[in-house]
Amino acid sequence: MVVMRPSEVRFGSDVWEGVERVAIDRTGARVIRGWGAGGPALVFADVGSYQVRAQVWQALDRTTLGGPIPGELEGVRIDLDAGTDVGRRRVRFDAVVESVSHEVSGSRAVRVISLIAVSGAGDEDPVQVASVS
Amino acid sequence: MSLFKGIDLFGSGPHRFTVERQGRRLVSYAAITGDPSLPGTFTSGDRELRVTVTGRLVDDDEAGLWVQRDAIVAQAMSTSGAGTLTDDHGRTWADVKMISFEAHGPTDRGRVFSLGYTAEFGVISE
Repeated sequence: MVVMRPSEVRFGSDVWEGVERVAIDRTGARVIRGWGAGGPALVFADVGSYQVRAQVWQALDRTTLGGPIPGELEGVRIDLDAGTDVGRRRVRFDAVVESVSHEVSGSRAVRVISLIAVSGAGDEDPVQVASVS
Repeated sequence: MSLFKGIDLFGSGPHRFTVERQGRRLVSYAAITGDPSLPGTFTSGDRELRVTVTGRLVDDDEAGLWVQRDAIVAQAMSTSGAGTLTDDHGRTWADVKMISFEAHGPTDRGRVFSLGYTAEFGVISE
């Protein structure tokens, strides 16, 4: 899932200005593979555990001394305007900050925030996408 | 299809049979006398047959997986008698008992409910 040019991104009560895009990736953390007695080909596969990781690219145009701290847990809210390809939508998930780094090139600086999404009981995907009227 | 006593215990998921080490049983004199300075070994008959089944039970829900697991564990209890074990290719071992069932870890709750395991069978001279 990729969100291009969201209208607003919140992390708890903080509004992250200048977010250019957010990529949400799902990766199998425990991939189960099973071979039977019939031959060499795989006969069973499942993902027993997976992880949802979001990366946020935030353009910075001035000196910034603050920022999220790894380990912080907050609700993330990403709003998309009606003018986007998918219409007015809101993406929500709870997430822990994994890392915060910066890519600086010339006069341009981009903060890259890596988040790990968490689910309440683990039985539902942590990312919820809803239409906003 | 693999069978034990005519019951398909492992068919819900992938599984494979392994015949464990066979041949004579060597025992060291040091082990039986308790004297570590004593050299040498002697043959004490042959090893008992051991066959392991390693695989994964698969079900659509938690309850169904427990039904499968309980059915297998019941065969591993000391009150359960011997029977014929048959692998997926028709190889049979007569008069074997299920010795143990061991889960490889917690239940995996992905697209389906599944549990990795090892079940050990063998001829036990009692």
